[in-house]
Amino acid sequence: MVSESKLQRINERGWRVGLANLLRKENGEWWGTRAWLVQAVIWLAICNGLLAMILWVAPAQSRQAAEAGRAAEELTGQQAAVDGLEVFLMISAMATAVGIAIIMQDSIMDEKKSGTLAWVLSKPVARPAVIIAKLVANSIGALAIMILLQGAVAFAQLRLAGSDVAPGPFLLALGILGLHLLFYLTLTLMLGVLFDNRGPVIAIPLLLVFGYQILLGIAPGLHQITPYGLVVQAGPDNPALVLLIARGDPVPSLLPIIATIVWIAVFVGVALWRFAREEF
Amino acid sequence: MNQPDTYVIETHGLSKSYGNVQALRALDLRVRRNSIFGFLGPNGAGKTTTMKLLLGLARPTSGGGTILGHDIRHDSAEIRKRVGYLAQDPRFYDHMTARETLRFTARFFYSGPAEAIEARIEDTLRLVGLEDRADRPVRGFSGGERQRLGIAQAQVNYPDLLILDEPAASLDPGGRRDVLEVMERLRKYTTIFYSTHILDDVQKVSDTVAILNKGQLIAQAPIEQLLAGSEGVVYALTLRGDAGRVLPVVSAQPWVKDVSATAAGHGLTHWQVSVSDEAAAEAQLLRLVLADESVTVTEFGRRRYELEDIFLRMTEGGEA
Repeated sequence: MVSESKLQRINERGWRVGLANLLRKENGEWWGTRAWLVQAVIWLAICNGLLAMILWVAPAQSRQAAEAGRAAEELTGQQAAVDGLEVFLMISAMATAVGIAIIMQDSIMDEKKSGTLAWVLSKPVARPAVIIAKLVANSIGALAIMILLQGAVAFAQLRLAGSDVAPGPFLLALGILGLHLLFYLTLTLMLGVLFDNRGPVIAIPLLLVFGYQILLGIAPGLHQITPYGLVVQAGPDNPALVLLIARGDPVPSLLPIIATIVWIAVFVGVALWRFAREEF
Repeated sequence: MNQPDTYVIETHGLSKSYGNVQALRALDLRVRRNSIFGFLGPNGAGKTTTMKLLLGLARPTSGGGTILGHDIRHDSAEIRKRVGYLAQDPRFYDHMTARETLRFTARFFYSGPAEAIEARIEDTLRLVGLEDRADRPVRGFSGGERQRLGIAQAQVNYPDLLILDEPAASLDPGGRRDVLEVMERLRKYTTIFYSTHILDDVQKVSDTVAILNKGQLIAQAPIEQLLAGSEGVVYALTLRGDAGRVLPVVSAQPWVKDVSATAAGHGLTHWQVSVSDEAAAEAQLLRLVLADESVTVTEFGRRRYELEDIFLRMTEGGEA
């Protein structure tokens, strides 16, 4: 047997035990294979594909229609850029929330069901390290591919189309989209820890994403204390907070941002607390 | 030899309930360093529960214990640094190869240099005979290969204690033989605490045995002691002729505790002679019987129990 002399024993303690190795593994699942490329192409098609249609296809079609006398008014490039920014932000928010819920539903659930989580926990691994590794690696992967990359491409498209959107406010708007995504990421992570079957883990986030009109109809106050306030307009003349920020307009209230941060912290806290008590 | 540090595992009243079901009842277990300790019991006896409690994968309802001097309730991570564990139905990441699985496992224990870790992985692959399958994804592995990988990942940190849950249960005879050979090879490096219900395997490799039934420990002893039975030393004889004449002579010996005689037909009689002094019995018993010329002895020997006899008698309510 090979001697121990050349090998250095890891002597971490507390919540960091096993974290570096788990982070390497979780990051590898995003970046170690072609998964990142597949994700990038999918999100490019969803977020920027639709934006490209609005910026480049719609004005051309409108021009042809106006020339043929089929439309009273031509859609200008400038107007298309204004519409494009709004549509990009709204579609990105909805689609990335659904996407991250689908990606994260398996993160804990599959490992609980397959027994790999019990195997990992039989090694020197602190339980918080498992949750933190999944949280950090998936956040980095999702924010980079689903928000930053798409945001960069969208910004380039918008500027090429003549939009006057400024880089600073647009970056801040991407931050709001990131916060919105993290809400659904941490929610799904927590549900994966709490439940042993897939149903509620995927159903609850999807219900929140698609049922916003019903929920806000029942309780309008949710707009201020949930991430709805970030991406859903409060009324016909009150654009969503993310759009106001992207345009550089004044923001009426920061409460939705603060509330979303608090929700994220609560979800992570509950996930850590429950996972520490889980038996395998 | 009875100093506390000679015991790698010690539990005191270790209990676990799931709702109204008492899975483990006040287990007092002692596993001596460098032993191969067979943990026996029928399905549902509480063997896997015990192992999960020892590793911190489940929490005891009451009682506690130590592994390598560390408390199982509070020092679980420290324990797992020095223990290797193979689950009953080991599961690994299917997309990883055997080598990647071992690399992932090794990095929980060691940091660089990379070549030293790779050398350890190679060494471990060789130990379990998986060198030629090292770079294949685990998803294509047979049950036996998966089990061997399970032993490899449990051994990659050269643990002071190996906990193996049914290491040979799902294997064909060839696979079982391979696993037992690996356990034999590891005997000189570590303590092995393993559960099984394959009694043949236990008799082949274990030196100490504990029997668990319905969550309760019903026996714990060196295997030789268990196989000797609780009646003490018993000699079995088959006699031809008038066995009744020599019976009083044998029964009168101070070292004879009891003689049970049964007719076997064709003029044969079986005796079970229970003795208190093994040396005296060995020297005198056969001579005493043969001194009477009216009988001949067709069979003579010390009675040995098979582990299966002991196990069945204990788990079905009797006592060995």
